Amino acid sequence: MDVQRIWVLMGKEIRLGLTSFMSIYVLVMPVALSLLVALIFGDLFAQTPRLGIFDAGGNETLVQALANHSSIQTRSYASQAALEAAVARGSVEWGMSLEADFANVLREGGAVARTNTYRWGEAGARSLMLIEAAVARAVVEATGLVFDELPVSVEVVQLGEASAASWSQRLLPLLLIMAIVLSGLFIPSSSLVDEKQKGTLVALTTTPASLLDVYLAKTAVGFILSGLMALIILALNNAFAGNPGLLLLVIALGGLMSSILGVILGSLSRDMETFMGIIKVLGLVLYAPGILEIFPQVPQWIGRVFPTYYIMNPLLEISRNAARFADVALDLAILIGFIVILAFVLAREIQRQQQQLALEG
Amino acid sequence: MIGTLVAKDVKLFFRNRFFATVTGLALVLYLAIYFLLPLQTENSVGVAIHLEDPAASSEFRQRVAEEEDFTFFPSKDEMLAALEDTDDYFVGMSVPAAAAQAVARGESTTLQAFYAPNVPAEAKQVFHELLVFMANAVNPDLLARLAPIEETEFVLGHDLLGQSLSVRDRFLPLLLLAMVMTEVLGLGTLIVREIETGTARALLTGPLRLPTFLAAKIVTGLVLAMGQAVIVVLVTGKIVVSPLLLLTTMFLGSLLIVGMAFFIAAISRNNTSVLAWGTLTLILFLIPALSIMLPGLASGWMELVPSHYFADALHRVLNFQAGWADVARDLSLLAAAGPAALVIGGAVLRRRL
Repeated sequence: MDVQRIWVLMGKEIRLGLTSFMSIYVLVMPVALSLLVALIFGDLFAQTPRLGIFDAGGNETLVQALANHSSIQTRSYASQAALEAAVARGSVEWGMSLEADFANVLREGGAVARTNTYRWGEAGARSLMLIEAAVARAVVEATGLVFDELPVSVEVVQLGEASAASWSQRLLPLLLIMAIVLSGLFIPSSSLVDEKQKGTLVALTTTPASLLDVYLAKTAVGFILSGLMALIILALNNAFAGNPGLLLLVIALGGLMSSILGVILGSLSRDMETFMGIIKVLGLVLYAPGILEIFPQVPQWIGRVFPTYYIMNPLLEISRNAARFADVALDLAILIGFIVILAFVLAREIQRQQQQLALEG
Repeated sequence: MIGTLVAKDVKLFFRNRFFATVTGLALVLYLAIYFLLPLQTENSVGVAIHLEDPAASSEFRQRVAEEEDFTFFPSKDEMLAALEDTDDYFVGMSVPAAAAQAVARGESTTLQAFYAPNVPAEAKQVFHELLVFMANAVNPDLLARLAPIEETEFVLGHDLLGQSLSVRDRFLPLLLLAMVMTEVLGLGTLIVREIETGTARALLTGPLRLPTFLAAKIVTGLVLAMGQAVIVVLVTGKIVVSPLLLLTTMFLGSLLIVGMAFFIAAISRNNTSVLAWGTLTLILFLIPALSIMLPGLASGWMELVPSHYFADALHRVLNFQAGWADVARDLSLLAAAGPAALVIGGAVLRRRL
């Protein structure tokens, strides 16, 4: 094994492999599906109301209070013209231009504080009302009153179970598995099959590069791409709640398992048709935990039968429930067990291929 | 001669099973997505109110009625059922008669409200503030202290008076742009294949001249790009909205896309390159249309992308019934950008033929 050669082979793999249709497909598909799911099931549109502010000076506390508000998104603009342009194109739904010392006038009382506001014509009533409520609170507090100590208070009781999983949350596991498995498995395997069909694999082994170098380079590319794709899907779905180090560890292990499996499948398939045939059968097994997660009525233990469950479950536990290492240790141990078995199978396969090449040579 | 070449190209395009299948499937898929998207708009603010004794709570009722999107329920049970069983409300408040009178007098009191199960966690704070502010503003003296500002409001853009557009309506410009843009890949592949196989060179050694060859490709591109877009506006029923203006916008937009296809074909070595460059262009050109769907993404730099004017004109015509004068700027910029893209694309392509 030569690290420098593996590095060169990885560069070649990325340069040539990424322009293939299969690569574009596996990289674009999970992202496109993720956006589509968010579009159809509405999460992208459940955006927080957007407020824009131009502060001519002296209103920092008021602006800060609005910027810190958890229910609205506040953007500051450097000029009134920039604020007006942002409202006109809908970047923010409501704009507020604060004259210098607007907050001082409020605090001192007596005089009426004046402000120009800008409403985006296409803004929805709900967004506008919620922005106005948030601004009202900030204004009330700027006058020196304490909002939570106003004469009339409101106690709110939560009905039912709060924050039931939305459709996009239910589909996230499937998207994650697709991202990791598609890029981790398909890219090294299709590249390997392609090289076998074109005869470049045999040609490569006549150079100082060994079969092990070639296989390791392909595994590494699949591993890197699957990690990247998993991170993109988590970012698109706003699912970065937990420990980032632990999350990266699970993504790395998942990517490793997928890419080793990909190289094994690529090595076993004579041509693309055989490979696609294997995938047709294996695909359902790989995606099964993600599909089962969509239906809460299906007993959860069924998912544990499938290897990809041990990638999906820790990822979801960490990103959704901020699980710690101890909470997902068992899943990770099983995942590492699968990786060791697959690595053993791959080593045997490389040995077999080398013997075959030696016989053919 | 142009007609013969166009007929040959269209036949050739549909002979490429991959692109023909993808084209057909994409059309069906896009339309399915369009009809799956919600048609209803979010006009209600999602606040439910029950007044135990409306007659004895006139000030409270008057104040709440000013917020015209609040929904009154005749009983607390009905309000709770609506909160729990429908997705229409986020929060509800039930006001006993004695509490309503205390609120009107500006006395200290505590009201009870309910969050629906579907209320997003991050929205709870602002719904709570809305109810607190509204309840305190029932008393005129308190209202004067709570709202000591004088606002002058300006409306920018097309005023829908709080009646936001449905997701489906916002999606349509993106859909049409995507349909037309897909032809960058189709036409680009068609041209590259003719260059690779030597067909283009063979054709040009005959009586066919280069301008005629390029004109045929422009017509092919327009037929392929506009054909699908026209099917979409027909199936969605949107053709009835200013048909001539809509077709003119699609024609000018398609010219721009055909010019881009020429350019991509000229710089691509093979079909894989067309796919790579085409996908990049597709993503860049779709961003302005995506910002119509997600206005929070909108940014000034998007006006530098020529497809912005195509998407904007489509959005105005389809969703606001804009007339010729309203989209004159968009159309004139498209009318300049389209032929410019064709001239540049054609010139670059000429060097490869």
